[in-house]
Amino acid sequence: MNQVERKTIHEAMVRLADGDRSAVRALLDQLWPVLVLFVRRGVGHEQDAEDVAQEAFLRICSRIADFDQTRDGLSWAFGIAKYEVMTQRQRRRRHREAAAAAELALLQDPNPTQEAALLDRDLLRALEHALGTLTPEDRQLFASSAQAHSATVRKRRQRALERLRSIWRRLYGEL
Amino acid sequence: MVNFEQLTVRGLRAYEVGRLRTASRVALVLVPATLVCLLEARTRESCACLAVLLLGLTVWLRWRDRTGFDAVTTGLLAGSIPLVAGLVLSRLDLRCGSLDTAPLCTAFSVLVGAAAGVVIAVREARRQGRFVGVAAAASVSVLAASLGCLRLGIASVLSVAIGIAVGAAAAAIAQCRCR
Repeated sequence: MNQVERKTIHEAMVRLADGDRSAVRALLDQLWPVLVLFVRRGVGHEQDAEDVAQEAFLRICSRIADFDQTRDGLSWAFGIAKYEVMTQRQRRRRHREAAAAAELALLQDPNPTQEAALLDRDLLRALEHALGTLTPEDRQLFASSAQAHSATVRKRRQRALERLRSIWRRLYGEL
Repeated sequence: MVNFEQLTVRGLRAYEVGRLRTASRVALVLVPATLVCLLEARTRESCACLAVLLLGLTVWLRWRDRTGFDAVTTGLLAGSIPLVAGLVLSRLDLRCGSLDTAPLCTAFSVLVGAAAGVVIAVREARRQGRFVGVAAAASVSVLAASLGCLRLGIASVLSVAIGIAVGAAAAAIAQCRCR
């Protein structure tokens, strides 16, 4: 990208921030190719790139009234796109984790042998012991079976899980 | 494949919502000022009407374009001078309705109004589209000043409005001559 293109994008953004509604189409035409390229590099997934770029463009339009005209427009737009890319990555990771958990549940034998049942019982006892060393607040987080809808609860659960992992490592070695 | 027509429409919609959200943030400043004004039982209804009018005007101007956005900032800044002065005077329990104090109130209102007018003229002189900007800022300023001066009487409100107009015009003329 050369300086002229960069300046054209910046000018379209300034026009839009100033209240010129007709600049939306001009901004889309100029920003779209670079935005898709940037997002594609971040997402690493061809199919998702256009969806994420669309989300990023809508976010840019929605926040352009707060755009500081002394800053470079393209860098500001990339800042928003980067956030969208991170969100998409997190979404994919969560989706992968959920899929892996579902796969694991399918692999579990409904009629385990006596030896497997014994191993399961030992494992359960070890887990109860590790859980016992956690704080009551952390235990409460694992006890509630409800889906964690809010980001705060999800984050707390994640941190409690990390604490449980470190306790497990200390008691029984690597997972 | 991306439909650019559809994306433009969605982008425009997101843009308008975003602008409205940004414009509405002015309520964070106006609501506390209105609450202070509403404390006075005598002028409560008029104050509520003025506050609604001021909020509507400021949100619309800030939503419209950058000129309106800047004019609201200038108007509120300038209007805060007579607003605070009016609130202080009413705290001092000055009866502007009586014959003894009326000239004093009027002179004081014109003076603070003129100070607000000068602030408007100086700030708006730096921007483009000056007349529209000054007119919008003066309107916002008069409404904001009215919130504080309402309890001093309608004469005070009118004096402030005249003061703002005179102050802004005088400062603008003085700046033109200086150039």
